[in-house]
Amino acid sequence: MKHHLSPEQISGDFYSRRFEQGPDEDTLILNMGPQHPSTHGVLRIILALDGEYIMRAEPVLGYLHRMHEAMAEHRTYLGYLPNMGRVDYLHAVAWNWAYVGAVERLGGIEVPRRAEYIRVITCELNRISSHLLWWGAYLLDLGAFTPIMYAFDDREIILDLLQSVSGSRLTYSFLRPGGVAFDLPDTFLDEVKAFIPHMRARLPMYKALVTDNTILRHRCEEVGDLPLEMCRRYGATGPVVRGSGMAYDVRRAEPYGVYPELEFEIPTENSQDAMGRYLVRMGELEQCLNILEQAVQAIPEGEHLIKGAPKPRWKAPVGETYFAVEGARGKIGVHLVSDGSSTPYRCKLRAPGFSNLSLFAELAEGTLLADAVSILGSLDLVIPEIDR
Amino acid sequence: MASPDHQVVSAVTEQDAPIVHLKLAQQALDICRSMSLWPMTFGLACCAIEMMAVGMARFDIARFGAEVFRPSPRQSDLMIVAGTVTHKIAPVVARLYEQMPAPKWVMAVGNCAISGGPFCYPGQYSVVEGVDQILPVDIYVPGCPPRPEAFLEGLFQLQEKVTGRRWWPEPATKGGRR
Amino acid sequence: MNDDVFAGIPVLLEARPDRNRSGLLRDLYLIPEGIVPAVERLFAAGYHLEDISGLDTKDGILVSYHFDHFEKPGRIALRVLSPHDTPKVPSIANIFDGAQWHERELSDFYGVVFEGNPNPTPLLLPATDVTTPLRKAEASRVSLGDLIDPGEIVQMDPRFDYFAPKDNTDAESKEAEA
Repeated sequence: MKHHLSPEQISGDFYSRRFEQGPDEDTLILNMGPQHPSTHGVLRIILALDGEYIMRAEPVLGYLHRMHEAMAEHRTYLGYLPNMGRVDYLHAVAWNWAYVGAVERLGGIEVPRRAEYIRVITCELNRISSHLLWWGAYLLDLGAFTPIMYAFDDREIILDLLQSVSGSRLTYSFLRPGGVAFDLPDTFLDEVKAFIPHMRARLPMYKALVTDNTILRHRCEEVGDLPLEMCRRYGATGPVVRGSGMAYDVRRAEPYGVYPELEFEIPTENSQDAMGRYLVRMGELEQCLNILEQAVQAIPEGEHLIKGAPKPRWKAPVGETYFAVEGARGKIGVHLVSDGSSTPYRCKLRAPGFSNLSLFAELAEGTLLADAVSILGSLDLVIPEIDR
Repeated sequence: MASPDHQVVSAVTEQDAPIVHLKLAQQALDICRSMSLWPMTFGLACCAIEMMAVGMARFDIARFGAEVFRPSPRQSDLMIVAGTVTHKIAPVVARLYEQMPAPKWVMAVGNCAISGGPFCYPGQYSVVEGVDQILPVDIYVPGCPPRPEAFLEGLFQLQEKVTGRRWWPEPATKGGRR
Repeated sequence: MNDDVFAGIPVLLEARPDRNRSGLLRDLYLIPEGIVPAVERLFAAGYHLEDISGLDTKDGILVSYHFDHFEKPGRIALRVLSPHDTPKVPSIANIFDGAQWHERELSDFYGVVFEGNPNPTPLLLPATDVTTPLRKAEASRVSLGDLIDPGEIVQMDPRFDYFAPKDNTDAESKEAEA
């Protein structure tokens, strides 16, 4: 068989050659990815290894650059909404919310109270499903095959709920500027009320089987020490910064929707390590259930979409806005600029994973390769939101 | 920002003939292979999550033999391209395909892998419009993302392609096309 | 909301926008030489960098830096307007390490050169194929005043007249040292 690879493809590409120009060390240059079971998508990290220790690391991005920001300038405001589900497919409702929230700010559009509660219910259900998948995948990276089975089992119940209300299992385009696309089916609230105790009963099992498991504790405790100052230098948000002791949550810092009327705690840990970030997310599962309990009690009757909500070729008023929500991974921001036409002039997507991953190069220096896998998992990355 | 003139590198697709070529033996081997396809974990984007769901308890691809997802292409015979292929990852996809030992099959899952999906617009610069521009695809599974049941149906049709007959009941939908 | 945090920094325009509509507490337009000292003040005051966002307007490429505070929430935007031909801005990556990636992304999308960025390699686009896809065709560009409403103008250098009031009801503008 003839070899048709060019000399460059054999000796490495632009990125590995540039990486090799770094400090002269007696190290092994290793590519982790872009096809790798533990990088949670198409992420490539070039590593300089001295034995098992990482001397230098450099993430290479762009393998899933799907031009979301360029597409915004070629789609109408409503036509762009499906993109939001694809940016971070695990917490699609939050990205939906960030975008429609920005559009509502620009357009001065109100949202009926019932729709606000529907948004909270679906967003928190989505957050639980995102954390469950994170949890299962993290344990899978660490070598445990059982937790992901249980996580997906619970997740399927949530997917059934969200499918009954939105029609999709994964990439929801469920929110609309001015409300939500559909009202809740008749049985939905009862099903959510049945789900909450079911999930609450599972959490102690997860704690006993996994969180208190000595192997997990050895893999996560004191791994990936991330001081708060470093979080600030890189703009890390979400469970990453809450695992380093700062109780910063956009739902309380820049309140939106009906979150001011709901009581919930912000789980925070001071250990700064992967275990801290793990415990923050497990605590958030419990807090999501709290929020759901309150929301299904408090949801009023009413419209699910405001009268006069934007139609397909709606033109946004001229202006600029920045709207942030708390996603499962951190602060999601949408910076939207309108020139008065029916397509956005500029839509900048601020992805929490982008800032969270940028600290990996500094965080992984001097760690074991196996610990780097644990660190990556504890950052909860979804590559499409990083590459956009 | 006109769309640049990308040269998409196609994978090398020549395969050597099997050493022993007895029809009956090949048929028996094909049945064994199709009932024990080893997919490669090549989830690129959102469809990868539904691929994970199909491997889990509710949809359970293990019933049909394909639960052994191998991270390494050297140990797999089915490449499930689940997600968007960009120009940056296209050479990687081609190389992974070439690293798989023959006989091998490719399932293009999701609209992105079939034709670029929702990311085609005039002037698009980053997405390869369909993985079949790089590799020969055996089965196309449409959806954005396809349901896990669609994954399973794709697997059944691949098994039919490999062995010459369908082994599992037809889906009970009116107007369902094969 | 420390009003003194930018004392002594040359400001082209400072505004307090409508916070409910714009999401911003303060909005400042700086000369390129002013961005590094301003960001140093914000770093010392405990702010974190949310993102760096580009905007291609008729008047130049507007680079917007968004900062927020973990304990005292309130978004501050710093802006630098850079000419289309040679857009150059000093890098803030030596103050906020996370800016390195944001600046590289802007270089990919707009071709802005961030002087002093420790790793000016393409980030999201293929290394050999950077096409500045977010730059607009000249006919599609809109001027700054037709995009952004700065709100209440606190101080303005008269030469920075992109937001010249269209009616007489704007707040009085003070001259600032440049």
